[in-house]
Amino acid sequence: MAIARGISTALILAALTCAGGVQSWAQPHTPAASPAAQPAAAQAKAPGKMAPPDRKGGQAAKQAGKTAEPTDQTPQPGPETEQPPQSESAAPESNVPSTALPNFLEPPEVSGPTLPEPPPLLLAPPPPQIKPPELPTIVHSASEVIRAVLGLALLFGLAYMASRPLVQRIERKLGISQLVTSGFPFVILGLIAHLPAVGILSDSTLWEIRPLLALGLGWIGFVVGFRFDSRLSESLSPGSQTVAFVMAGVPFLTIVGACALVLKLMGGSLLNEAFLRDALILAAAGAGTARSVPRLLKGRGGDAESVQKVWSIAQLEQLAGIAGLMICAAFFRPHGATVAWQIPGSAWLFITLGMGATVGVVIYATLTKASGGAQFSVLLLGSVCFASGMASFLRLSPVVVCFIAGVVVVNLPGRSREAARETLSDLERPIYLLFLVIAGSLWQIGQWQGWILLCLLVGARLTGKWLGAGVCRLRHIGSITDEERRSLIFGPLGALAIAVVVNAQDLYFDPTISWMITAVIGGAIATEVIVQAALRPQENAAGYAVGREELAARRPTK
Amino acid sequence: MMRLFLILIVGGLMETARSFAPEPGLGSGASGTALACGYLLITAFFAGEIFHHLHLPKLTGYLVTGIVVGPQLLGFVSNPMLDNLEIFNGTAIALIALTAGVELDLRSMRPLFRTITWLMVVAVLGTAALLAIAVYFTRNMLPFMHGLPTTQAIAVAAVLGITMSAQSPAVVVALRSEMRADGPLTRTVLGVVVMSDFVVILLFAIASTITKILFGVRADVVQTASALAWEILGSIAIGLLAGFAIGVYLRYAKGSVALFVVIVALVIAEVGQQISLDPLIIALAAGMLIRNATQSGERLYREVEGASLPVYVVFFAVTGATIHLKELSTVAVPAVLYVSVRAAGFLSGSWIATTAAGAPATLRKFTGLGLLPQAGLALALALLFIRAFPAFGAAASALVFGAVAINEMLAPALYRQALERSGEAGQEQSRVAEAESAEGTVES
Repeated sequence: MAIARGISTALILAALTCAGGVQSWAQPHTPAASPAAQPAAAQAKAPGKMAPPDRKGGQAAKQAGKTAEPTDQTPQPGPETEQPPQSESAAPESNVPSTALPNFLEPPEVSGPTLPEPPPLLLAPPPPQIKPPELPTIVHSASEVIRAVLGLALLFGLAYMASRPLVQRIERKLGISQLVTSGFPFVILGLIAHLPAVGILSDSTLWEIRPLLALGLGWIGFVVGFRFDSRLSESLSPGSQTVAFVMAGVPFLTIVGACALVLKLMGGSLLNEAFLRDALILAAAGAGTARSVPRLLKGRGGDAESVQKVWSIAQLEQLAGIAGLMICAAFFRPHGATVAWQIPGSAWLFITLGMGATVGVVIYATLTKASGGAQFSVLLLGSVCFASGMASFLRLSPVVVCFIAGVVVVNLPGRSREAARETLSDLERPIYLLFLVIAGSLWQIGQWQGWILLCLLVGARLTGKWLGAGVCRLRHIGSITDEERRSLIFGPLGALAIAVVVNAQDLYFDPTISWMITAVIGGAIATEVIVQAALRPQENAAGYAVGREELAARRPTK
Repeated sequence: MMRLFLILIVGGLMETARSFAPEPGLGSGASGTALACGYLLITAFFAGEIFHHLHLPKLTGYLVTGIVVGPQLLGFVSNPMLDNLEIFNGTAIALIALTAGVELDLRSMRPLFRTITWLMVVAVLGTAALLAIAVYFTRNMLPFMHGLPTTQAIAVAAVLGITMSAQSPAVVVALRSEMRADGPLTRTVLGVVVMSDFVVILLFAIASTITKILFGVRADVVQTASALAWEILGSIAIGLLAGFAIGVYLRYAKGSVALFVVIVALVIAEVGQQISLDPLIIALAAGMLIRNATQSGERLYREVEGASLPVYVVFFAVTGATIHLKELSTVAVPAVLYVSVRAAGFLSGSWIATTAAGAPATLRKFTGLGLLPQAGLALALALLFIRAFPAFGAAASALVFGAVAINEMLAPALYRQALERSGEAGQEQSRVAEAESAEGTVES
């Protein structure tokens, strides 16, 4: 125990010393106030939230051979204890009100009589009056459990089948490869599975399989980080970094700006915490471009050099999503979190970086000890599960922590890297598709606010991309061609965008997050479908051309 | 050394996470479950490797990891986390049973049937009887048996004797897999533990029903019989259907089917439990059908072996974490006594049975050691015992938990020694090579 404590203290100190400010904030048990003191139960029961089974349901589940959370409290974004979560303001020793937010977001001190706290201002029109919490439906009978298990197995089986080479060949023959590759049919499957009439992914089932969500988020982050290797740096042409910075940064700003405009029209304050957080999340999700963009360019007849360039730019753009999510998780700590550490946002930022780097080194060291395929699977799965669980436990982003770990692992020397790459590629697609199924089940399609946000997101993103491309052309940055520019402007949103908003929902239990899920998933599907529809004739033509070339190459020469 | 260092580092990170929690102990939610799962996978895996270097079974390393990091010692993995990780148990048991079923090649086992029958009668039933007698004559050491009339005391002793005689197909299959063992000893032990699984379930149902009647509890014999028939026959029927489906899939699917097998195991475990079927029997029947009625047995075996490592690691670590150390400390003396009686019963019974069956010297010498491992079935029966006899079931089951804890720790190491000394360790590779060359011949 003493050794474990010593090592953990050393690790944490090493991570925190990087921040250069240990003395200023490393004070455990310093309480923090919860600025927006919304009833936690009402927050957590916002549509689309996964809530734990109630006490009665817990008993029912136990009778059915399952264990359930023995609490009738709604889930709180704090470290998970068996005790019902308390708000930070109710934490012990809370004599001095303070905040987990950075100082610039603190409201100025008001002398005289205390004014009532204004309600939080949100991106979209205020949510409808939330009813008293309705407890989620609990899996009562054996038939419901069987239906859920068989349904999940079927969904998993479909995800598995979709990753088989044979099925992918059939998709290509049918000309639906790109749409299926993007995985959106699985989002729809998740949406259908969540319908009460179907009942496969009910709220209680979603609650049970939430560990899978953490694993999925971590896995996506790790895979994205694993692509930031020497091959990426070698493939970067001069100016590509600047192009990526502009093409991600300008849309980021336009999305935040569009949100600000909407809020201003509604008479809200731009320094409102909830607004800033939501705008940052939406911008982080909307700034990047899907990995499928290079394929689209290839389909339009782009040469290898262009494809490589666009690929590297799209990769770098993903940093915007990671950075945005990291800042959000660090500076906008979840309300009502029961935490033992009360430290400033900048400290959480450095903890995120330190944790990601530490876990990355541990994963690297772990993988060097694996000697076969099965051992790699065990250790990689265990490592990502551990990293994502730990990040989620500390209310940080699993995507970000695992991303950093992935970057560390792939850039350290050794042969374990290739074996890890192989294992990742084997498991990537089934896990990704399963993640999309769960994301689809979180999608509250009936919320009109989400559809309005969708229009805002897609419009602001396209405008931002167009402006960014214009800046690159005017300033002659990166010397990108018209075709490359078009691909980058119209490129769809990718898996990382969905991961960003799903991760945000795991962190914050606000109704606005589920609107953003609608906006981002809907936006991702809309952009993908539009791009497919616009490009298909040319893509097919290019495909035939490629096919003819291949056939000609295979023909024996006389 | 590096492995130990990694275990300490990961432990340090867990301690960090724990320091973040305001309450002592880590939580039960999604992040806690993911954290615990990842932690157990890494730590138990490395502990298994360390134990392997010490010439001890890897699975003992997994178990020890569970004990050390579990709620009773370090507390890195809390009880709610263990509850959430129970999903691995069912899947692991189904995978293990599938492996066991695929191992049971009736043609190659035919020469062993005589020995297995003798072992079932003398070693298994004999040890159950011996344990019942031991419990009866030492009932003064057991407070829950004080003051019971003779008939009731005999009945309770019989139920306890049957419960404590249960063996562990899971440990036997996992050790066989770890040691890559094959040969008469491996197959005989596997055949006996699988058969005794059926027999012990059957005997327990009969004995507990009789005991209930003796205690004046209303017991519906017809209902018990029909429930038992449904559990055993229904499981076999569903298992055959599942085996047929897996066989068809294996016939047409190319490439790796590991993930498919894991999904099937999960479905068998979860659905089977819901409809009062035994996942172990379902998977066993499925595996036996595939081995004996299709050409895909060897392939399924290899796929299960490849896919099951993560599940095994977590399963045994969770099992270790749920070992009842507290109960062991309170019932240490009688538990050690019954473990000794059980060991004596199996060792002597096996020697007598194999001698009577005219089995080779290897079997005479080592079969008893293969029957010693004990785990899940005994615990499950002990839980049933609590439910059936609320007045004294908890105290009686503490005794079983204590005995299982001792057997879990010691028996795998003994069976590992038996496999090594019998020369069967490492023999599986030659069998696989033969099978692969045979497949190659058929394909060409």
